[in-house]
Amino acid sequence: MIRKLNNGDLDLTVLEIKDVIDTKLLQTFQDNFAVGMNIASITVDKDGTPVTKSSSYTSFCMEFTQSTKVGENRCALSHKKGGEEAAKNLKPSIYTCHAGLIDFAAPILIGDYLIGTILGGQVLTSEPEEEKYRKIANEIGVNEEGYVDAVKKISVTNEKNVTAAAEVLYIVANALSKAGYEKLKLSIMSQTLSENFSQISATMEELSASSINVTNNQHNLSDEIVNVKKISIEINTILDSIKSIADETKMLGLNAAIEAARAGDAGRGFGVVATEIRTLSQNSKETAIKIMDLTNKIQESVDKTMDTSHATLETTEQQSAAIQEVTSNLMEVTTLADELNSMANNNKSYS
Amino acid sequence: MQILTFLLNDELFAIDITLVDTIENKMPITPVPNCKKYVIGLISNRGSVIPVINTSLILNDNNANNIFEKFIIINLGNEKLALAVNEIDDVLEIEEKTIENINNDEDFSIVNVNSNVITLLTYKQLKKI
Repeated sequence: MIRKLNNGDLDLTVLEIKDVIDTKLLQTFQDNFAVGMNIASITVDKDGTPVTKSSSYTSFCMEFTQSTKVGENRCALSHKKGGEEAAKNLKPSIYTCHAGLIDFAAPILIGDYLIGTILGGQVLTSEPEEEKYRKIANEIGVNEEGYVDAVKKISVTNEKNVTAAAEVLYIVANALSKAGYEKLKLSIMSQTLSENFSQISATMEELSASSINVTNNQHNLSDEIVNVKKISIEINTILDSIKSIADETKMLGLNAAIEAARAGDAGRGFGVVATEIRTLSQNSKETAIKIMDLTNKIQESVDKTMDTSHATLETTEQQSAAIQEVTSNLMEVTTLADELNSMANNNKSYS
Repeated sequence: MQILTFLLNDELFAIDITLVDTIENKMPITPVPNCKKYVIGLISNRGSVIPVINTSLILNDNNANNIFEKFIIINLGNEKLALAVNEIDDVLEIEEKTIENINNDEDFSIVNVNSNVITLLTYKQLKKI
């Protein structure tokens, strides 16, 4: 089963042979190898369940030894022992089975992790002793004569050949599993890459859109600021008018005071009014000057804001351009990642 | 009595208000050839043609670059004169006894207003023009 861990790595504890090795290819290889070397073999997963059909199994094993419950158990025990030995040492182990045949167990590893075992052998290194096999036949409850006949059909070879055969199976199966595993990793990585790039691409597009918004808003802001400046200049013009009205009022007040003085005692009341008018004109003028100070401050502020706004506008425009560039680069990279992904997935079918 | 104060070269001067007819904003002055140095020219005001006096000169201030913004129209008997000044300041009430003559000369009077000593243009002084 292909399962990813939280950190994105493959979970080796659930990885199976069929995930990394094309079992059809393995079967073909194993069958041809078995015929060529005259050595039986089968591939099992880490739980001992066969993942290939047995190749060139002898009738001694198939039809006799494993035909009874006792024989099958003894075989299973031998296999288990051999398999455990191989798994422990992480290299092929050669051993003699309960029935005296030479067997081997070659571990299929990913790194140091066992995903299966190639079991094989069923050969003899010397001519069988009839007495021994009659005894075993009785122990496991099969026909003595048939068992002896069957054992005589088993090919006799030397241990060197068996070791070499085990080594070849070990090397090829592990090369296949390693290549398969790498391709699987590649496939998963390229898929992740492709997905991530798609996401980044989408995010960048959003970013691009929002940066255009920012630029537009900044433009609007600049325009509004220009309006504020125009209005403050208009206010100053009006204030100039108010100031000259105040000056005129002062003149009026002074002339009124002169008239009042000329009228003597009769003009005293009017003189007070004239003074009030002068005070009023003075106040108006002072107020106008204060307002003018304020509008000048507004204009200074506006000028500073304009500078900042121009700088911001430049920056946001640069940002927009940069984002667009990144987006277009990203699209190329995304296309590459997609290609990589489809390549990695095509490769998988060849393994 | 009341006085009208005005500015010439940032200095405050005063004139008896009873001498003043009106005050006016500046207006075009028609230059007059071959006249006294302190006469700038003529203006037309309320139907009368009035000579304009460079007030700086009669007050012995030789700064000729004054910008005259205002005219004080005064009555000297049957005659009217326009005193060209920089700016009109105010109308003030003073005690007549605060007027002092310098060197017992009634032509040069000063008056103390709010602890500022101001030269007061008098009728006699103006009559000499």
